[in-house]
Amino acid sequence: MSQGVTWRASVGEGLEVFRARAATTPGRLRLLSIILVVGTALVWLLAAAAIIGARAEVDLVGQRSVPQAIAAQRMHAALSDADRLAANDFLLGATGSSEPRQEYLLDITTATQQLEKISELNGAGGPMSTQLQDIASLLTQYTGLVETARANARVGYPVGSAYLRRASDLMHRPRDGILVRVDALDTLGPNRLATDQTTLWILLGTTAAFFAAGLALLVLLASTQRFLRRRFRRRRSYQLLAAGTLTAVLLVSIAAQALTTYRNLALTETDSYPRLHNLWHIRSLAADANADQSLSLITRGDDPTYDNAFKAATQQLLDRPLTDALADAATRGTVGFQGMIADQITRFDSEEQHDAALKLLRGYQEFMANDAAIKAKSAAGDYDGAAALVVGATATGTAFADVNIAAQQRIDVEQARFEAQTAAARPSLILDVWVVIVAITIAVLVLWGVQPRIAEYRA
Amino acid sequence: MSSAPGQLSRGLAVGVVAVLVGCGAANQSAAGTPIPATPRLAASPAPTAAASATLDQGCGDPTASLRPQGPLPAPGNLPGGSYMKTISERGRLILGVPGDTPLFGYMNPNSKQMEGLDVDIGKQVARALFGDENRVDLRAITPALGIAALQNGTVDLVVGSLTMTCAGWKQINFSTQYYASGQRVLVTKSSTVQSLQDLTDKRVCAPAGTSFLDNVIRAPNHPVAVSVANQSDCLALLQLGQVDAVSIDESVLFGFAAQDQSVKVVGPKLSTEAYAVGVSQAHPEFVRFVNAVLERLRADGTWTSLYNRWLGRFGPAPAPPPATYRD
Repeated sequence: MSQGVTWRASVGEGLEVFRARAATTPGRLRLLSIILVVGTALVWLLAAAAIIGARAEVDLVGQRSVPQAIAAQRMHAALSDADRLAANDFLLGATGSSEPRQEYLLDITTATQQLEKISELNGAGGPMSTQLQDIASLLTQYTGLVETARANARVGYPVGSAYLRRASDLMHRPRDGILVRVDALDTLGPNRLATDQTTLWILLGTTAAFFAAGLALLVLLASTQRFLRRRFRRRRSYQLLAAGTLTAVLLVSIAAQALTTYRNLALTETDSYPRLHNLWHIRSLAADANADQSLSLITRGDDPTYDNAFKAATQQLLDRPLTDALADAATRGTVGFQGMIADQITRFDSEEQHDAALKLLRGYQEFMANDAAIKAKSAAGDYDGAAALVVGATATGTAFADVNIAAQQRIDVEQARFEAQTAAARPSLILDVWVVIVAITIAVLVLWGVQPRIAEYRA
Repeated sequence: MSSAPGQLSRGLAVGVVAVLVGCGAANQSAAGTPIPATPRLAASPAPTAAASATLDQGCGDPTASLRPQGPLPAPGNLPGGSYMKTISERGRLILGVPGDTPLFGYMNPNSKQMEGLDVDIGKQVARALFGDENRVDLRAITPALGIAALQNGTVDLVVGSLTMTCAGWKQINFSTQYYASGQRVLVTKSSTVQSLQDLTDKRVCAPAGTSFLDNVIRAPNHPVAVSVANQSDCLALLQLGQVDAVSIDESVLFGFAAQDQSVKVVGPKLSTEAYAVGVSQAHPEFVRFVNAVLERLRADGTWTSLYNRWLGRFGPAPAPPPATYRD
């Protein structure tokens, strides 16, 4: 009890002494200099936190979201292609080791590898663990159905086509098929899952606190400047003026970096990523259309489902039949159609991109001409002839391959651009050094500006 | 002479087990999603127009065909100006068959030859024309395309699950009935089900838009109808355990049983489907010729031996369907 009383008495006495000293001019000057130095340190700490936070956010995007998005797109494309090749292999009789069969196995391997990559990025027990397990399970189911289809086909049992159709249905079901679930893993895509926003809010809060502290420091420097002018009949303290200028420069430079980071991340999300996604989607749609051609022949045209699916897929690529006149006009710059291929032709940054888009268009034209020939043979009952056109003598000899190759060439270019834009959003390490130097300089200038006035009272 | 029954012992256990393991794992996993039992379930299956001959109205008896005129001419002595003469001079009979119906018309993957009951019936016509049953060109053709192929002369005959209906008679001519089919039930061999009446509240698969589905829906004991876009999907669903039974035309069910030794065809016929050979309306004399061939098959026991060859394992051969004529 007595110790508590003694302590309170000591604190009271201390506060009295403090108030007495702060009431004096040198006391106030000392207080102001302490507050300014501490404030400068706080501004420095908040600036460093904001820079580190921005760097972490960009790294999160660049080292997790971007690779995950790319892995999801690659997985989708590989699985679409695998489904196409499973159908093509079935059409060839599913015997032995055909070229479609070999490529199907490669696609499944690629898809599995991309799934493993996403799992690593997600981490054990991560937010997408359940989704990843679901996809792995469904993929096992899918390959089992394909193998059952092949086994039946090899012994000539028509039920094999039923298993193949079930496999394709499992892959493409619009609400809960494998491809839709893979798309949900793409954290930058339109179907992305809600991601943890905590890091982003912390970054925004830190940045806001930095600007608030910086502005408060500016105000305090101006107040100290005014105090000195009133008390010492000096016009101004050039040191404090310099400190204020540096503070303003610090605020502007951090603001500029924040804008650069934000702009590049925004462009990544709203410009370069959608273009890349568009190209992957084109490739997948072409694969889906080719699969529908095979499945339509396998069902011998009794089921219009696959003809309808073919139309739905190709109409996303181009919204109307592509005549020679339309293709020629597009080559000359007049695009008289819409669709994903049209978007590629009208949005380009270089002649090289434009040429690649036109190559894609010509590949598509050939693909559709090939489809007309397939349907003519099928209608005439020449299923073998139609099958030969669908699958082709070699993978590279098919019209589908032309679309596939043209799309992949654009994908390679856009992907490099996408990754470069993400990297450009990352704050440079030079900024960290710059902030430290500026903060120390401000503190030195404050002391240089205030201490001589305090010394005058001692003298 | 290779035969489909020789392939019945081929096991698909590895493939089906792999699928069942995958399905089971998915079904049992709290996080997994089983494949829907009805991949293309009709939102509200609506009764469709019945296709069986007994319900077909408007042309009298649709199973009545054109009577043969006299005894069957010998090969090489075919009437001048007749379509049979044209075929004879061509040297080959062009025959359209389904190509995907085991035991009736399908491609043997070992011999790469089309074979089955339908194919053999067609070959008997070739035997009557040429004295050699192998002088046929077989074309795999769906029933839908078969009618068009007859009308445009792409094929001479279509033998393959064509049922005699009044609507059909408006487009082509039919021979007399060569096979009496009807809707029955397919279940696993371990099942105790004997007929559709034993499938109360059980899942029964049938193709969408068919009279078979209608009959399941209308069954008084209320089985749960499961519709699919393609009939072979029903066998897959049965193999995967996602339906308890399949109810389609008997010929299709026999084909399913040929693909899977673990299933059996049970129950009486729920409908009557009269199978006949399709011929172009441009050649009525050819219809009479085919009917004469069929009469010979009935009389000399060939029909019974063909039945036993392909369908004998499902029970003793019935009497051949009788011929009915309209003239």
